[in-house]
Amino acid sequence: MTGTTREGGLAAPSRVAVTPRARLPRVLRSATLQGFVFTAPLLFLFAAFVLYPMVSGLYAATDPDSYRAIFGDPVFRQTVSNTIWYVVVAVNVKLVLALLLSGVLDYPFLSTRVLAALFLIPWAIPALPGILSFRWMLNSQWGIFNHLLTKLGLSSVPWLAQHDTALAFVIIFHIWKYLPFWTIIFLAGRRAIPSELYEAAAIDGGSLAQNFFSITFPLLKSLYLICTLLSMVFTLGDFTVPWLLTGGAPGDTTHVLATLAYRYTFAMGRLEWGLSTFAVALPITLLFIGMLMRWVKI
Amino acid sequence: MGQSRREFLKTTAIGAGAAGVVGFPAVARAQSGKLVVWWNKGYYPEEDIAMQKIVKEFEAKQKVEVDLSFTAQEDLLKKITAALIARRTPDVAFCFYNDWQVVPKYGWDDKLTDVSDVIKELKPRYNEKMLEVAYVWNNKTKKRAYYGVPIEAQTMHIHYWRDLLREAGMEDDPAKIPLKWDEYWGYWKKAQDVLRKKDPAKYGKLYGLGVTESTRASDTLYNFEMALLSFNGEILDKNGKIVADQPQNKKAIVDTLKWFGDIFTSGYVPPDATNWTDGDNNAGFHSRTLVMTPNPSQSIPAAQFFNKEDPEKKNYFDNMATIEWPDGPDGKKARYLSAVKTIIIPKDGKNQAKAKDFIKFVVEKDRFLEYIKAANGRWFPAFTDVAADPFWKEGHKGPKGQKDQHVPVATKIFLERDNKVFEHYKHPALSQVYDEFAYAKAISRIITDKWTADKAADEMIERMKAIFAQYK
Amino acid sequence: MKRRARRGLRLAMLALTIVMLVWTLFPVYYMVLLSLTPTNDLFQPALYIDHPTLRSYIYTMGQDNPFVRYFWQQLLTSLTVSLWTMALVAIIAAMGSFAMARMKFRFRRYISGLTLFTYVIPSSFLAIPFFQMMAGYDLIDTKLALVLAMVTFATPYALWVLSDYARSLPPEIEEAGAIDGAGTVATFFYLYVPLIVPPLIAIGTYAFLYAWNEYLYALLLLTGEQHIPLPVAMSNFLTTDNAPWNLLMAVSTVYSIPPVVLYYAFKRYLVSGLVSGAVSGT
Repeated sequence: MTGTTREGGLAAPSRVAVTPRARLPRVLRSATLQGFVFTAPLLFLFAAFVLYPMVSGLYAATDPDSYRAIFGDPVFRQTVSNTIWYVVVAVNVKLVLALLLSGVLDYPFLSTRVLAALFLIPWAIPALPGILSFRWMLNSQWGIFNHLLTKLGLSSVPWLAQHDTALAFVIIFHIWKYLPFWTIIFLAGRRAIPSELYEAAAIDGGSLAQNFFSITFPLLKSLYLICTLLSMVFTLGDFTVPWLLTGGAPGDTTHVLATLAYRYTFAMGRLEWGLSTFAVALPITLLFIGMLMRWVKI
Repeated sequence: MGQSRREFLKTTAIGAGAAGVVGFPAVARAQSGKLVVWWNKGYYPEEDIAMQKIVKEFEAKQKVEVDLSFTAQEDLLKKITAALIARRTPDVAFCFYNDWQVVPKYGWDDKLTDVSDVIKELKPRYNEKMLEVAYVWNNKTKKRAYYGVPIEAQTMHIHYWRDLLREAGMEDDPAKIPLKWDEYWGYWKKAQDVLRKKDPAKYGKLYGLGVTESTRASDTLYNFEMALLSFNGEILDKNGKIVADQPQNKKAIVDTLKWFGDIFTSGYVPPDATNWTDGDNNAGFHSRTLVMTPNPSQSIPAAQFFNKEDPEKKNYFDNMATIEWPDGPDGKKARYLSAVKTIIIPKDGKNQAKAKDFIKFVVEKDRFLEYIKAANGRWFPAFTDVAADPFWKEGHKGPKGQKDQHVPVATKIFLERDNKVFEHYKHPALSQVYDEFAYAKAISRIITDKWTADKAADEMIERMKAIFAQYK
Repeated sequence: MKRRARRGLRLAMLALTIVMLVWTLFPVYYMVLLSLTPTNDLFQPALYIDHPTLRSYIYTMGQDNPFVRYFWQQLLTSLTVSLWTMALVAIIAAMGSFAMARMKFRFRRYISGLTLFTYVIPSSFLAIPFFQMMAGYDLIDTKLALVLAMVTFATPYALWVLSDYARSLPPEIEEAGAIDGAGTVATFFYLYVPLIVPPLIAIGTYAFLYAWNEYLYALLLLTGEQHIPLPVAMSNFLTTDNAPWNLLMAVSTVYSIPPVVLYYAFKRYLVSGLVSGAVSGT
């Protein structure tokens, strides 16, 4: 087997002994057809499980009554606000931190190497155990946070029982879990920057901050932008974290669009409302996807 | 290099064409004659085992195969809802939430099978008060009928730690605790004060009133309705029309909300009670950070009964007791609400007749007695012959011959006190009001947002009227 | 860099590392801590346990508590779904990437657009119609439905990574194959697949983890305590009375072990695989 590596030399492929066989008829040799054969499973998945549900979902979501109903629901309005807060704050804070952290991890110190080995654990652990752990820690009566607060003489805070702190912790958990992933993306992005640029800057006596702003950031800019768009779309559709951490409580004040749609459909039996809720999020999602498709090549 | 718009549209068109071919929903598979039964997972393995036994007997007797599955109640409600939406339903479904959610809503939508014939046959055995829960309005046929078969019920009771009261030097015998409204609640407050003073290190975080006030717990709704009854308020009239806005009812609602707010802000209810899920007051009670807690089922004593770390069942027999809801502020004896658990037969099920046979089989006296006893007093049977069994009057016997302080209290409530079923059967809009935890939200307005009870009541009533108006 | 400045930097990094490690690991530490706590101490918060006990794990393994009655079955369900997802994603993405990166055929760009679209669209948006569709095919409560969903959503990224890697392989492969008279299929099996083993491992692991961690689709498509995978079973704990949290944490820990093990075992492949797609996409 050839050992092709991404960096470093590409070895020539070894010759493989293959029994020569009769050539296939010309039409079957057409590249297009063969291309289709190899991508057929992919296309099937897309058509059957993405396109069809999407179209049928959108079709069912064309009922004006359900939009009237959800727009009239005070919970819906709060939900839209929550979703915007969640997406905007979580994504941006997370990516800024990821960018900075990726810089830290680039250093070959022992401490950073230890960190590099361990810091992906939140991402490796499934969301549910992490969320359960957070919930218990934030419990007002027997949670460790409040315990420490009272030890310091401060009063305990009902973290998950009020809208602001509950939403804040949805954001905090999101960052805790997904920061590692984006950090390595940025780390790789950094590694792709040729080191001569930094060496040249060192000759000119540039400081850390100067290096960052004049070399690193401009070259990572488009990666950063793409990551922002991607992360925003993912966060917009996030169901698991808000649902398991707060479940919408207290009083349906911490729903996001995905959890509210679930609630409408499965807790209240109003399928059309659920679909309409997603349909509301669709325009901006498609906008982001469109932007991404312009810039990213698969 | 990215996609141009035209290419994207072309892509979509190709994809859509392929989707059209693939996406044809399959025709329903031929029914194999198997009876599909979805049953609520019991709290104790014995319950599920008892049900499995019943199913085996049914299979043997009727020569029909039964596909029985147990699902936890939240999950099951979602499953039933999903099945009714997708019109791929089981033949029989029993979920603890059927009475609050499924029967009123889907009876209205004509998605359930009329089981009036089954009810008629079983009527002589029924505790009449529990039947109403399934008598709902069908908006298609424009009349009421029985769309479920009630089988067992739960009601509100209050549990407390006798040993904590003893330690506070207070009377712990349930017969001797004052039942007048103010004195009753004051009793628990006093316990908190005394114990905290006595041993601040140990009881610093102890609370006297474990009253759930959270927007995430159905316990809150139960507590509210019970308190509202104590204040003589009504939400619906007998035809299912909203009467909450009538002056005397509105006053009762305001008083009730005020009462919830007062006990919370007075520091006798744990601050976390506004965020409790249904299990948190249980947990608080078991961890002895609550002197008492209202709970609408016997799950708390039952958990202690099965506590492996207490083999002599000291907690169940000696340290805990159950007591009734107090008399109202006007001195009248408490009126109770019972939540009656009901079996449904979805209309889209393929084996209606068999389903009815199955249900009748399950509720036959001896069989049902065995099943319901496996729940250890958590439920009270809807059938008078089953309820006549001495277990309900006496409960368990303690290892040293102690009397059961829990099961007989519940029995007394069902048989001797004024009780009625929840009113969801009157109008499915009430189910949505419950879905939105409207009462709990009003309480939260007072406690968290510091609104006046009047303002919170107004908002709540407005929202309720809006919900009711949607049902034409 | 000057030595003093470097030392200052070292210290700053050390401080930062400590902060980050606490931030990163404390919730995990706490979860494990709780799983080792005896029930009586459960409600006394502390940073360490006086009497650690393995009883929660014993109950879990022995299914000795109503909450964990079907633990092994649920674990098996999670495992089965994840393995199938991994296998199918690998196959479909390998085939697809071969076409996308190595063959010139007419609709390549549309397909890349489809793939990107599928990757980006949040799976939760499609959950309800997907559920309805599965209900229409009577596939609710089958592992197949969940596997199909997982494969659908994990394949695009896998395809992306593999295609990207494949594009960097030398073009001589097809020529070498053609010289020997190999047809497309043979080239695929004998030449292409062996060459893409590193990213294949990466995306296989990714697909496994994707399915293992999934919650929403598992919640919707599988119900009934014998059919559900672990995460759904765990979330059911939350809605009952009397949830024994130490038991729940024990199950959580067990549930977390495979992903962490896989991650560390395949870290090299995983990281380079994950990264390649995003970076080269710019």
